[in-house]
Amino acid sequence: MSFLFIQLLTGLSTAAVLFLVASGLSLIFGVTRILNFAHGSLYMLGAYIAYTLTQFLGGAGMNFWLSLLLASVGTGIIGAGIEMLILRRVYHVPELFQLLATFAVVLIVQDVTLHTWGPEDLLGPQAPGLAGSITLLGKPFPSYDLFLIGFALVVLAGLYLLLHKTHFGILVRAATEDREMVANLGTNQKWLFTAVFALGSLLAGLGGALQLPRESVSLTMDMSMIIDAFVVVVIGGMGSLRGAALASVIVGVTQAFGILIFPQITLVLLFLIMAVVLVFKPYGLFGSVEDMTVEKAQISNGAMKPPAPRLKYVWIVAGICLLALPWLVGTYGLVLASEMIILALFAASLHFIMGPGGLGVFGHALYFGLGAYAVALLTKYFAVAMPLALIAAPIAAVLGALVFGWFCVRSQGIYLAMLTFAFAQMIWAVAFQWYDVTGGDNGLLGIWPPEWASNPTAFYYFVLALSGASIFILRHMIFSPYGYALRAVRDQTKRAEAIGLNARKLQWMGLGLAGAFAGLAGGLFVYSKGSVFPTTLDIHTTLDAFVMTLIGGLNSLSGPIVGSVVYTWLKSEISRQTELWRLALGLIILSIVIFFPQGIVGSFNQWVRKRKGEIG
Amino acid sequence: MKKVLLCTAVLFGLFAAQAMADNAKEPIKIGDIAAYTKGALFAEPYNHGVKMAVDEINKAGGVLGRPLVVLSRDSKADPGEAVRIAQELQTRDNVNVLINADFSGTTLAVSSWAKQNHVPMVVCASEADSIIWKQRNDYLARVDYSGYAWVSGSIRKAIDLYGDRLKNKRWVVIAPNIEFGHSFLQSAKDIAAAHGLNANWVGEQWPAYDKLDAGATLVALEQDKPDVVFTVLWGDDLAKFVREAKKRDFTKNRIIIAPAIGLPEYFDMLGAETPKGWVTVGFPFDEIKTPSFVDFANRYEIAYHAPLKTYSVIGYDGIQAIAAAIRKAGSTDPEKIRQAFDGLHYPTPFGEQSLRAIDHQTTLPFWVGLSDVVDGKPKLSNWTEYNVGDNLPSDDGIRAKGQQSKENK
Repeated sequence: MSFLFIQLLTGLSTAAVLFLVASGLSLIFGVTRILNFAHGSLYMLGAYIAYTLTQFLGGAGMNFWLSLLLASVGTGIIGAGIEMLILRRVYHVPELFQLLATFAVVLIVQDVTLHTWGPEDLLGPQAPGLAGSITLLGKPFPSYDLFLIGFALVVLAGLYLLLHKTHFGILVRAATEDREMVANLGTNQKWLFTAVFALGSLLAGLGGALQLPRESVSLTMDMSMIIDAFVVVVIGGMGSLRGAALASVIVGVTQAFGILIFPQITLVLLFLIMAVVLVFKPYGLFGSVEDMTVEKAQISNGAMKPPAPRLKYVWIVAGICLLALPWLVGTYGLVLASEMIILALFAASLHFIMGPGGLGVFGHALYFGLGAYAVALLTKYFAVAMPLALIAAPIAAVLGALVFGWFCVRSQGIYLAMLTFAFAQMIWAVAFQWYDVTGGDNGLLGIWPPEWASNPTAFYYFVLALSGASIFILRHMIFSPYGYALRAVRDQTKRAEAIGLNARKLQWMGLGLAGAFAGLAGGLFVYSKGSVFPTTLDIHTTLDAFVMTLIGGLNSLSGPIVGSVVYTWLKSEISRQTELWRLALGLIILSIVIFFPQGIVGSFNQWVRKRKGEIG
Repeated sequence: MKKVLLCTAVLFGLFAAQAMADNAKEPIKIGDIAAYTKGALFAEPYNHGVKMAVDEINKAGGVLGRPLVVLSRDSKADPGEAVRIAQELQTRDNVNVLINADFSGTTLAVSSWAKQNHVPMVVCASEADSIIWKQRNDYLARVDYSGYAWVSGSIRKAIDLYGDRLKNKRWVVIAPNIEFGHSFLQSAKDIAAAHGLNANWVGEQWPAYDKLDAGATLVALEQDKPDVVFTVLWGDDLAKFVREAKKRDFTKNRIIIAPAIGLPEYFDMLGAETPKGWVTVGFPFDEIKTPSFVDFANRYEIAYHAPLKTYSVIGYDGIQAIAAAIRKAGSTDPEKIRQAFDGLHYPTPFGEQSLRAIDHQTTLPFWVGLSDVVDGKPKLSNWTEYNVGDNLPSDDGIRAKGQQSKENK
């Protein structure tokens, strides 16, 4: 049985590093209410800086530890810089925009790291004196792992003392509970936020630096860590230190034993735990409902009016242009246009649930991917023809949306976002690890449209007809009685319920509807590429939909359409023009979040109204 | 009137001649899709090899009198993105041929697309064999090694070294849960059976690529009490595995067969921590003394001031194969290039090589030996040279593998 003990220790050593990173993330969230996507990037930077310092100072003796210390302090300073330069400008925008801003930072850091350190993995030195192992119950166990467990306990104790015995700590805890009151009592919030962000970043950098003796330093460290850290913070309860500690242990130990028992589904297990916890404890183990009383995210504001009749002509002109497109652009233009139209439908479905529906979901890739995999699996295993497969796509997505949505609509705010994220990641993990059925990473290949729809022009018209009709239906739904009811629930939940509207049911149906159209878009996407991969389910697909919807603007129906056209075009052009496409994309997203939080269409409308003198 | 007609005719003729001359000089476009920014251990050396071959061919007058141009794009090792890039390269840049160095899954996706759209492609870095057998594409040729051949060479070498110690043993496998890993394990099972080793496969671990939890996985494998460990981990996963295995005494008294870790691309990262005595495929380039190879290594050294790596040679071969195929086809017509791939002869630093008619797989020499550390640097010691051609299944075996996939559909 000694191996069970060893496995427990192994799990705890994984938990140790997780805790360092997650506690920083949790602290930052507690005070600033920002879910910092860039936390993984800071972790990665900590590792890279530590690597360089050990190369520079030499990785032996005290210099090794000095390198780690300097790397974490350096990361803390970088974190403070990010907070002062970027986050200070987005504290007033809705929380999903903040998430987007921190994601832009992720993109920027990725490119900066790539061009500073190069694409190759780097292997740092072993920890001096801790490179070997000690024997526990007759089995060798790496002494460094044991050190990590002890070190994490020290950090936990240190953080506890800092939060409970110092003036700074009291301010941090006060701000976590009620930051407006802290501000009213005369604390300089600006610097409190910066200090907390620096501390959190330092912990992330420390976590990264401590990985040096365990693994090589690589460019994928950021995303793999941030997702794990999210899971930990959400399970433990956002903003709770002991929650982060307990959840790290749960995640680390489950991972270790999962490998013993279910080696095939280790990834699924992680998100399953998260989903189960959130279903039973919607605010995590130690989170409280009070956390949610902070200003309810104003994702979308103001009533959405049907467009002015004059706008009809704009739509007619646009329609004619779309119909004439095959004569105006070449084959590549058509291929790109088909992709834009499919993604416009995807974005429109997200817009429907986020804008009029008022649900800040963060896992829309789930429905897109379900539709896509439904098509691919049916084609591959049952040779189902395209029309039938395209009917099955939205059905699969609706089923998924109804099952997962039932849990989701009971939650709200950032927890809703994280619950939807957990479900999406779970299905992604299934597609990724179920090699025999889904082909795993390889995906499913060779799923092309039949002869009559296979040339680019025919496929373009096919996509245009289906997506156009779907977007029209979505638009119609918004101005139907159901749409008004949905918006009533969004704006005044209590009043809406008082007049007899069933809020949860309405939102649940909304999710189903949005899921259906996302699923159809996913199905069409498969035929445009001839293949499907787990990436259609992963966080990047979610983010793409998100960016398209937000850069278009949430307060207008044309927002997601404009957003998908602009974003798809930008992405393909930028990655063609420059190797620094992540940097460029990150900067564009940042400038949109900071300067045009209304999105392109929203800003345009505002400009028009201003010119007409309707608003000051 | 006649004069006007004559003038027009002359002008017309001039234009036509001009147009034809332009056509003759118009470059042959090669679209390059490779994983330049993710797990990019092989991408940069490959790119150097590609550029070197293009420069040499263009200096010598190009192909069919036309210069070669390479348009390089980063696939980010994302199959969806790679297909999008392939679409763009074909419909917007009008490339004639694709060259590709990527993860096996991404290459498979591009191959599936290329088959549908009739675009010839040459593969330079995907050793998983489904690309040439199970999911065969006539428009594709592979100038890279074959995973089957690597595994075959590794097991033959292990039999040479350990003899009967390899019979009736408990084998475990640890490999990334991607095409690369699955394809290698299948080959290992087939080949071990073919040699009558009576291997008892007792445990399998399939960590997600780049997400290996090394400590916990090793404890799990230890429970299977293996005698032989077969692994094809690489990159960050390999580093984690090597470190943990050492600390946990995992490899003591065990035979480790690890095709693919000994190439300089993966070896160099491990440096002095390279484990000793693992059976692996490597590239002992400073010990290969054939004149054509030494000459190539010198030219490479002058051009890039960087140590020669495996995929530099493969990238170079890839461009040479494309040039040879277009010369043989006499044009850039995809159908003709496809036919030209059958039994194509093309020059490489290891002498003239050919593509097999049955699966468009090249036959190259490769080296299997034991991993070792000399003066703090990784090295392949006690190596034997094998040839890909001698280490592939029989033609009937390959047809059976192709058949299997048709039945699966």
